[in-house]
Amino acid sequence: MTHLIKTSFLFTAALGALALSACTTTEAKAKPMAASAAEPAAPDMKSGAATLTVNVSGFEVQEGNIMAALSDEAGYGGKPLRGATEPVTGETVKLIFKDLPVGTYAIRMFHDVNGDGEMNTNVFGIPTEPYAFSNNAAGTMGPAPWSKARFEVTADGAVQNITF
Amino acid sequence: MTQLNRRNILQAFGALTATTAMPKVAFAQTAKRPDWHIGWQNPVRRQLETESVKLVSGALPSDLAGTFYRNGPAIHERGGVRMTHWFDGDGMVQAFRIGGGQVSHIGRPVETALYKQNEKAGRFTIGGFGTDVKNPFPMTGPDSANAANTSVLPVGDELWALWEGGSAYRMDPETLETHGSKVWTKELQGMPFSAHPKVDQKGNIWNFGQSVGMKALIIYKLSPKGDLLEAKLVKDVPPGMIHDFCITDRHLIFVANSFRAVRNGHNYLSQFDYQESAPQRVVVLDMDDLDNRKDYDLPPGFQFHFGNAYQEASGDICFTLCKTDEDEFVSHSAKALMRGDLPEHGPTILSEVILKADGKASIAPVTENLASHDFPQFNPLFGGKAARYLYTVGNSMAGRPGETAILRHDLNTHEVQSYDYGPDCMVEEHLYIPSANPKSEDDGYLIGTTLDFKSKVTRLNVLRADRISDGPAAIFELAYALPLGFHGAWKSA
Repeated sequence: MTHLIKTSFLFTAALGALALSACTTTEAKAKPMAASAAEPAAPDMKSGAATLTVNVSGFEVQEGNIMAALSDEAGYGGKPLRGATEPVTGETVKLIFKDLPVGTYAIRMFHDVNGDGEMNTNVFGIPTEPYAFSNNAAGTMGPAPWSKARFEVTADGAVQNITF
Repeated sequence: MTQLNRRNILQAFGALTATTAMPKVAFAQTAKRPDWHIGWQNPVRRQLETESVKLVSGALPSDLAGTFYRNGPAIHERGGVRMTHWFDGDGMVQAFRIGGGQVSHIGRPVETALYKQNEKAGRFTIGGFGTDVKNPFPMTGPDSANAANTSVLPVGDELWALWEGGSAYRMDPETLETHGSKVWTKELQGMPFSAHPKVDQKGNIWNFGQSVGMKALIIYKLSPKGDLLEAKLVKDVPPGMIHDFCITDRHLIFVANSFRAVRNGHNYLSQFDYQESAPQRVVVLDMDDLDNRKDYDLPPGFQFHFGNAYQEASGDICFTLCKTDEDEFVSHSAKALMRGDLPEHGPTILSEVILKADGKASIAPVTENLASHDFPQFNPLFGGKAARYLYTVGNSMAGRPGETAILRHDLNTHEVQSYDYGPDCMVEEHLYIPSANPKSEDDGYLIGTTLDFKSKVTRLNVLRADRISDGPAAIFELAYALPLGFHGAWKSA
């Protein structure tokens, strides 16, 4: 069904701005977010010394994986800087991104409940698996805008607590 | 309470003539909202219950036993804020249980996820169809705005409350307790399931959902118990708003009208424009092979509701609809009514479409009586066949909104029978219920509600389908008014 995602959402109102559909479609021709998340870091990403810790909770069921994508502004909605996949085996999941340069980032993630590596959608392209963003930001009929999801990683690192 | 009969209705007409002569004076002297606005206000309570509804005229036919369900937007106002479009309030289902000469009533809100979210927040959190709320909550899909406020469908041992853009909500048909949304498969989770499902003569249920963004329909075929038999994506359907459809005994017929989604909008409605030059696209699908499709073009128009459809021996397909040449009602009147302003839309013309086997399509008015008609109904035993009679709510009146009459159209002779409920009543959809052992197509009953905005009560009316002009055989009267609703369904006892 991924070929349907581009024209998702009955309320096309929100389509234009929506990074979630973008992150499943814009990059790599409708490749699901998971595929992007699993991509290796972009070659021009400079290494740094900061550590980002992401604590994820609020799962409806304790199965499947969390699939997360870390992006800068240019890559938000497109190819992420880094991806992470962690199994959901308890009430919380911890994701750690090491050696990050100081900067501004945002996280998109979804709970791949059935573990098929894709963010599943219904026939009209509406996600049927839970998704979330850094700062617990939310969008309307799709991804949270960069302005709400962005956060700073300083030399001391950063912690994000995200609840589905 | 005044008993309704034709004599005092005529008297009331006389009285109205006097008052309409100086409406501005009358308006200035009364409250800022006109009396008819009660139809667009919240119900007196969220939990309505009347053990025995008062019989005010006539008697119930002995063979009429079952439950008459209705749905409609009912919570129009929260925390002093009103929804601005009629289609947006949280739904409330009314159940009139009928039998043994008695009628009882209960009314309950449909406790959708949105309703619970609104209740918790103490305000409207998402607009939906045509309202923009301040500081809206995030939406994860159309179901975030699902008010389940348009119709109902009894299925197996459940009652489904229906919206147009999202899932059906399952309710207990006895208590009207809400159980959650209906999900058949993961791929269909959160998909639109429209408010106008059709039941074919085998008892199978057909329905659709529309994505104007994808220019597509999803078609559902369900067993009589509501199990999924088939789901099919149909693409290349122009993004004209599709609210209802019709079926012959072997076709599904959709009309993508000239009210087209042309832009991204701030709510669903604001995506649409009436395109005066856009033909209506008719899409006919074969029930037995949904890939077998034939398209036709009709002159531009807009409609919500369809009557019956059937195929002639010649192969021609005929169906009725209630058509306009504008979007005035949905775009403007449905907002004016919420404010208490009189609507200014043109008439809805009962029309018949003929789809010729050679690919040509035509449309013409059914009757010379061009008064506004809507909520078409027919004997369900004749669904998909050449039914002779069609029943509508119709006849508008200056100085107040809504319709005053129920009408029967003889599609063979074009004769029209009608009963006028009078100037104080707004007439709602009347369903056709066949009698227990029908001897003819019109051997049955019409059952429907009227809101008397002067007396501030809702009445339940039962008429003989073959003697509409005699007026109701029985009238029951609640002690309260119900907000005007949209559609209903009947479940036999």
